[in-house]
Amino acid sequence: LSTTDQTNDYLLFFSLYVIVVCISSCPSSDDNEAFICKDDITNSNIADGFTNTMAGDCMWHMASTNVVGRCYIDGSFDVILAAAADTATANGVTLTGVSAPSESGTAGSGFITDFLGDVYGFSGYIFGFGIGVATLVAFLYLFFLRIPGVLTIIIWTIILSIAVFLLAGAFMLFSLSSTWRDDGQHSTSEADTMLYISYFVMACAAIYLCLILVLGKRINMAVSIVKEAARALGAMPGLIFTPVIQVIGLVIFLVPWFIYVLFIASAGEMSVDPITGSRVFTYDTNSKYAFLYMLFCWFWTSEFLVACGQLMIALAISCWYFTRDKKETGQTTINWSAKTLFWYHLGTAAFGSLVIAIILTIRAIISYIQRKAKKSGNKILEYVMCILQCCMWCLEKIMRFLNKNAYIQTAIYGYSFCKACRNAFFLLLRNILRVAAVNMVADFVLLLGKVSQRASVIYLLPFLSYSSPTTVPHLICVCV
Amino acid sequence: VFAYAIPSEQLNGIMAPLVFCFILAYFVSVMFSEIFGMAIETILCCFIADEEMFPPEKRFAEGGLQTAISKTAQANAGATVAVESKEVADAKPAEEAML
Repeated sequence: LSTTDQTNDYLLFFSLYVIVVCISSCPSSDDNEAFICKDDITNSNIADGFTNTMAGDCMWHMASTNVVGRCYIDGSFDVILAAAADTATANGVTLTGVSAPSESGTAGSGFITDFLGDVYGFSGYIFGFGIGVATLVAFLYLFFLRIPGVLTIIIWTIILSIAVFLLAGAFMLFSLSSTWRDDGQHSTSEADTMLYISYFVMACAAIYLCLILVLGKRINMAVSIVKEAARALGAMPGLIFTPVIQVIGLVIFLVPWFIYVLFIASAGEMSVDPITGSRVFTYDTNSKYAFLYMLFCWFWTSEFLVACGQLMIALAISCWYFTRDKKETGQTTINWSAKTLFWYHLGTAAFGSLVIAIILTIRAIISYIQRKAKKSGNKILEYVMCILQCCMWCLEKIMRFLNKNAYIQTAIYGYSFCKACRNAFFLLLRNILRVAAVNMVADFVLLLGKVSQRASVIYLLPFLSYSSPTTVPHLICVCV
Repeated sequence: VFAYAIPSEQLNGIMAPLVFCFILAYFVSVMFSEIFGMAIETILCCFIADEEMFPPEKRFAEGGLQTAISKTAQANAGATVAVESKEVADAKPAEEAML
């Protein structure tokens, strides 16, 4: 029972901020007459125990809970201390020098302990604010987007301010280059470089302005589309909870998957590295292929769940769009889309996710070869693999985008995956400008939404500062 | 300001709750933006399908989108290729089945 006793199976620290020893489990109840002591300390009676406690070698039992290998007191330390002091007086010892955990600062009150203790004690608030308030902000944001005119003003302000920023930047760089040319402190080449940079920014500004002119009215259309999407989500708020179902599905899959992986991992031969002396597992080719197969299973299943979520949302939203009387939509639409998904479109989701899973597996193999090449110092192989990896990354992004649109086609028309993929491709090609405009506006809107949701953490601050007045200066710092 | 106390006399600093809260809010915001992004793309595809399949008086577009259709129809007139009638023909039965 000590901090250094490695032969003991228990690695639990009894840390009441006063002493640190290893014990098998945290005391479940307060007991002022039983003591936990460091090695080589024995108490002949209760008075002895209190004397050793004041010396910092013992601690009486306090009801506590095991949090990540540390015992945290359940009740108030002051109350327990008062009770212990009474017992000590009854045994002829005056208990002094045992202070409350937060003030003692002795062994055990390290940064990690404080950190975990805070998280444990505040977990309700953390979950409430992290999930609850963030979701609330999301819905408020949806509502805010639908206020007439607001989104149009925001989007055009962003677009025009970017244009002004680019033009002003180009002008400033240009004037800077002409001052540099004349002031005698900078060489001609420096002034030239600055001039070329200003030309480059000017070209960017010109391309950007051309893009805005070409997109023109389509941006207004994109704004109305975003508004309609906000309306649809507002009508079916249950859609927000699809990730919860996905996570549950993933956990159900992960349990057997993890067991299989552990079995394969334990099939390796253990050998001792002759240089470092550390133990390493070596695997034969069969186990390596088994690992690869498990990796593929993981990719396919996780992508399948993502695809199911996307299909479900596409089904619900398209059903909402093609309903004349929008009042009929709501939770029933979500139920209908879930049922349709499970009855008709699981194959589409499986096919689409298979494509992504194959790409991801190839990427995993490439990164494995990359690591091998780095170890063996084969530069050519390393570069080739790097280029291949980059290509596969691009392919993955494109396929994800195409898949998304194929699922939407499936949701609208009920096509099979291949046909939906082909149709989605030609649809995107036909309406490339609209898609560009919608993507641009959607990116702005989603970015604003993300920032506002993450900032919702700020609402936690008043609660925190209320509970500990010393943090008020920090609060001001964070707010500023 | 806040009329109720919080059961956390042992709070050591504001960093730990803030960091964890931020991580949770981060994941919620990522998931929400995935869903919202999917909704936006679906509405776009529905809108295009709507425009390609139905004559103006039978369209499902409402409000701002309705005016957007007539505006972009003018803008698109020269730019985009005319819709293939074949696609409309084989798209319609499926659409009716869905409704």
